[in-house]
Formats: sequence, C-alpha cells, structure tokens
Amino acid sequence: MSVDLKQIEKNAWLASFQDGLLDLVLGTVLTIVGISGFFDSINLQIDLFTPLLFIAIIGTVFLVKRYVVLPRAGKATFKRPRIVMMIVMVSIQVILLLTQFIMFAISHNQKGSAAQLLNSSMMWLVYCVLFFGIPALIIGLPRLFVYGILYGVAFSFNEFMAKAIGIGSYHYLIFVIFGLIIVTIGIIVFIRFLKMNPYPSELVTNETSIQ
Amino acid sequence: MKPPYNEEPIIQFEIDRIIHEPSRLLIMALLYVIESADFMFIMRQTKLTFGNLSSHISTLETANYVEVEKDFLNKKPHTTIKLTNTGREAFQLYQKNIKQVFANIPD
Repeated sequence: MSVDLKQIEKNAWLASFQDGLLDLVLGTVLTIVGISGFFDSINLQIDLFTPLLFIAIIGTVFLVKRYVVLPRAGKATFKRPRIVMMIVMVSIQVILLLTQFIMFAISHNQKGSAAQLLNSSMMWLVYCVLFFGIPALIIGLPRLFVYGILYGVAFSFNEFMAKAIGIGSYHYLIFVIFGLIIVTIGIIVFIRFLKMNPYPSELVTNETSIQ
Repeated sequence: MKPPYNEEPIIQFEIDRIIHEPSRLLIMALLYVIESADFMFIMRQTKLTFGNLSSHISTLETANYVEVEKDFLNKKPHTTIKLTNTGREAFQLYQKNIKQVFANIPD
C-alpha cells in the first residue's frame, strides 16, 4: 500500500479520463471534418450535416457519461489548483484556436513557393501538437500528443495538397483514416473501462444502508 | 530511589487508531487530496468491497472525520463523502506523529 498523496490525487484525477469518451469525441470530430470536407469538394451542399452531427455526438457523449460512466466510476470534485489549471489550459487553447483561425484566414487561397507551402503546412503540425500537447501535459494523458500529431499531419497534408495542386476529394481521406484510428483507440479504452468497472447491482439496494 | 531506566513512555504521543487502519488510511488520504467524492468513486479508487467501504465510512463518520450526504441521482440513492475539518486536522496530526515515530531510527 502506498500513501503517496501526490500519486493518490493524480490517480483520482486521471480516473476521470479513463472512459475513452474524450478519445471517441476527438476521433469522431476528425472523421466528420474529413467527411464534410469530402462532400464540400464534390460540391454536395449539405449545410446542416456537420452541425447536426456535432450536436448528436455531444448529446450522445453526455448521455453515455451520465447513464453509463458515472454510475460505474463514480464522481469526485477536485481542489482549487486543479480547477485553476483547467481554466488556464482552456484559455491557452482558445487563444491558440483564435490565432490559428486568423492565420488561416490570412493565408487561405494564397499560392506561394514550395518553401512557403511547406512552412504553412508545418505550422499546422506545430499548432496541432501544441494544441493537444498542452492538455496532454496538464491532464497527464500522453496519448493526446499522438492525437496532436495525427491531427497535425492530416491538416498539414491537406493544406499542402490544397495549395500545391488544389483541393481534391481524396485529400480528405486522411482525416477519415486518422479519425477512425483515434475512434478505435477510444472504443478499446471504453471497452476496457466497462470491463474494469462493472456496475455493482448490490449498490442500488444497499447504498442506503450506510449509517 | 530512581529506577535504572527512563520512566517516560517511549512514544510520547498517540497514534490515531481510527486512521491507522490501512483501509481507513487510504480513504482518509484520498479524501484529504480531493474536495469530495461519491461512494462509488472511493470504492473504485481504494479497491475496497462495498461492505468493507460502507463499514469504514461508518467508523469515520462516527468519529466525525467524514461528512456523509445522501441524495438521489437519476432516481437512485447517491452518497457523497467529504472530509470534515476535524478529519483534516486529525489526518495532519496523524501524518506528523507517524513521521516522528520513524524520525530517530537510523537508516
């Protein structure tokens, strides 16, 4: 038995991210970006497709968290430093997101030399690794680094191809492939979570017996 | 006549026996580092069985070390457990005392 208080707190904190839902959301988002990009590239206008899918995903994740994950894993509230760190992390991500949007808006549809193309596509890679790397460090989930690289490679490949030879529908395949890789990891983590945290039926009837 | 040995007790402080039990120590340590947790979360983290945890929580509640709040979540009974100020102070004192026990033992 270890009474390493830091480790106990860290384990308790990480327990909230071991259900695979974060992975499933990130993987699905990347897949949807690919699918909607593909539809766009073949001039198939389905305006409501992407927002409706995002709403469906968020709704499903909320329901799964509430009715499947929480009854099995339980819930804890953490101390102020953890909450402050999460607020700082989200603030940094919002700043990064805004910066990238501005940069994307400026550089969009600009043709340049091969070196410039490489630079702008490399920026996507760096940006994505940063965007996912910060939460990977703060939350303590190293696999987010891998997701950052997958997101980065997909976006930088797309950026490079779009600027070098123009947008082709097959460019979006990389989003779908990488998205499905992350979804697969999420499914594995979720199944492992369900196996390791079976719902104890005795709890429903017996919890009131705590004196 | 003075006896040839030191009459003072070797350990001059009390180790809190409620906290000293390994399972309760784990529960107290967990509740010490977080704000509060529900019964299931503590059960998963400490890997104790339902009955064991229930009994230890009751002991800690009787000692006024934890505060147990019961409500309903999705129409099911839900128990939230939190360390009281007394429990927090007792845990800090336990930490201090247990360190002192081993302080003078050479490596």
